[in-house]
Amino acid sequence: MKKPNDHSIILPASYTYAWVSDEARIAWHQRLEAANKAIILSTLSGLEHGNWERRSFRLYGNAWLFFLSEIGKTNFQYTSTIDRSASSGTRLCRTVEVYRQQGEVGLLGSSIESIDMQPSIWEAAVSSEQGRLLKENCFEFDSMLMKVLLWQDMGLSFFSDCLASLIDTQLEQLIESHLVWMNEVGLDQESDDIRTILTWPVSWSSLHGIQEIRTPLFKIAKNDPSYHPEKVTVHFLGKDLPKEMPEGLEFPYERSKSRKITGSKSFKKGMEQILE
Amino acid sequence: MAVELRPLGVACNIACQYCYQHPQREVGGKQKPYDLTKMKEAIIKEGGPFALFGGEPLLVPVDDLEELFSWGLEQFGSNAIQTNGTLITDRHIELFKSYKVSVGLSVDGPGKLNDVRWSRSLVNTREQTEKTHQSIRNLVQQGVIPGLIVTLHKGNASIDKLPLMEEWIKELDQLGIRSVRLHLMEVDNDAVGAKYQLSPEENVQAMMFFHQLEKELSQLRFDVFGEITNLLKANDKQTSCVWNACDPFTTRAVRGVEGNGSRSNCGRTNKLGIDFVKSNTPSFIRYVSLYNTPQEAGGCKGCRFFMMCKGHCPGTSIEGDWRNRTEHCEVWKSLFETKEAELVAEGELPLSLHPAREIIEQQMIAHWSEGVNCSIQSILLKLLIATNTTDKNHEKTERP
Repeated sequence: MKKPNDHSIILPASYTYAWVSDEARIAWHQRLEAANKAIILSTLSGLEHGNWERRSFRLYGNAWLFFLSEIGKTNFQYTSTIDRSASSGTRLCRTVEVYRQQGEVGLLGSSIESIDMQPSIWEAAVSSEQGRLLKENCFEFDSMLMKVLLWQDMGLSFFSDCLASLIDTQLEQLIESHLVWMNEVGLDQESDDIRTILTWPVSWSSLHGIQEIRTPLFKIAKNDPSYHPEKVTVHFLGKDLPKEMPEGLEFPYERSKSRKITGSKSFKKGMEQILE
Repeated sequence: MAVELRPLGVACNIACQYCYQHPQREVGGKQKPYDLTKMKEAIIKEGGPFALFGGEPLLVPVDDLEELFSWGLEQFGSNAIQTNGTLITDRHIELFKSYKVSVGLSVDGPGKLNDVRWSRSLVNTREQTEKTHQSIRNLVQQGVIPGLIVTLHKGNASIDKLPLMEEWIKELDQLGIRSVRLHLMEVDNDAVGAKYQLSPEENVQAMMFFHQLEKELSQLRFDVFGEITNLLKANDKQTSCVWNACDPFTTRAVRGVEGNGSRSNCGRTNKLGIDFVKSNTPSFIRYVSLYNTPQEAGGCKGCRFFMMCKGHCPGTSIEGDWRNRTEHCEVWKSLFETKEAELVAEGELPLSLHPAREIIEQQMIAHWSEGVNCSIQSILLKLLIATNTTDKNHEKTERP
């Protein structure tokens, strides 16, 4: 039976996360921050070099402060607005556009689509021909675009230029060209890390206005502007896993179907025992 | 709130079929050696005191146990342990006495009633059960009165088993046991649930049975009934964590310290087999969501007991998804209704029927929306102060 769907339920902004282990946090926390900074640095250097005329970011928290410190070293103009729909508590989201030429602000129109205009993860999964239905309300998906949007929402500030209008192959080319640029300007480690991150599987689900995102290294819970009375899930496939990822019982943590306890002879013997 | 110290993680000498720690064991890696120094440092950082936990903490060698208890007494003035009781020796009891260790013991009943707390074979299971009961007797004889945790399931609380449980509880009461915590079985495995879990009606029947039985006992009390009464009286000062809006990312009531000093959350929220690191950012979005979500969709919207229950423990959520309310909602609702009726019959006005309930609800939702948890008592205090202030101002303006 379909459960009632009350679209008037909107939860307050909320964001929390947890690492899978201290080892994962120690190994990756700074690398993720460095990758974020590298995207900003390489974008500004690309503008300087004439690779592109403008670029956009979605910046969360301290990434904004870093951006300010770097843009101050240039003559580039920029616009920024707080995106309330993407902000959670003290984790403010700012959408920022940077222009190479003076006087271009406002003339070229904004390239950034508000997060409201971008398709939701679930909508994209349901409507896409790439999505494969695993079971009721659960899709498996192999979309670079949606994965990039998901990581962007988690704070990895990928450029946001009209992401919704790109198709996967275009986006992959865009990302690859930027990563090659990062290599050219000496940001090799960060470029490699971003490539690696995008190969990881990620699980997204939403229930009762709360999204839960599970990456191999951490999980996040945040409010979802779309309310789902029944759990909906999308598995984003990935071919690689970080060595810090522990073994778990569900995607993306499940490497093996074997179960030490419930698969053991002793446990099964107990289950066969008739209660007296 | 004590720190749960788990030197050996979830390692255990028995394998209760329903254990909520099985998800961690299913995929568990090699047991790592513990480090006493790192554990002590972590406990100090958490602010102690600690309760020794597992799995089964008495698998820790007795010399290390003594070191921990001795240090614990020096630092905090007392100790605690939660055990299955199968490994307790006279030496352990000496330690418990010398170092002021409060003992919590998990057992589901005598003989066959405890068979679900399985240990490799029926013969071995019954032997372990007898050891546990002998431990209870030995402890009491030595002046160490344990508190018991009893999980209810088809093995001990179906209607045909309740008379046997009655007999046992009365024996415990006579023996001097004062406290029994009743747990409804948490289901993390479909096959285990199908075999052992009582239906909501059976759970209600069992709980009501124990509720009636309590009136015949001289000193033994089942804590759950007193807690529900207190909640209905808007007194949530010392109620257990299941009623207090636990955030599964931080599990405030359980500050776990593992053998290597790392921090962990309450194991009941661990459904993936992964000990996620405790988050730095508490969130109470679960409770705002439950408040707004219709009951037919797994929420608590419109429930007059929501302020007291709050959807209960996220570890007991429907389908193991913390965003749902507890799967035992019907049972708790039934008990709340029973105690509510008792209070009304005594001439009291429980919180569930109080005209101020909605105001308190709105205050609590507002706090949770800001990422802050609070008690019913603290909200009442604020409202009282605000009312008194308003009254005083009103008096001032009225003075000639």
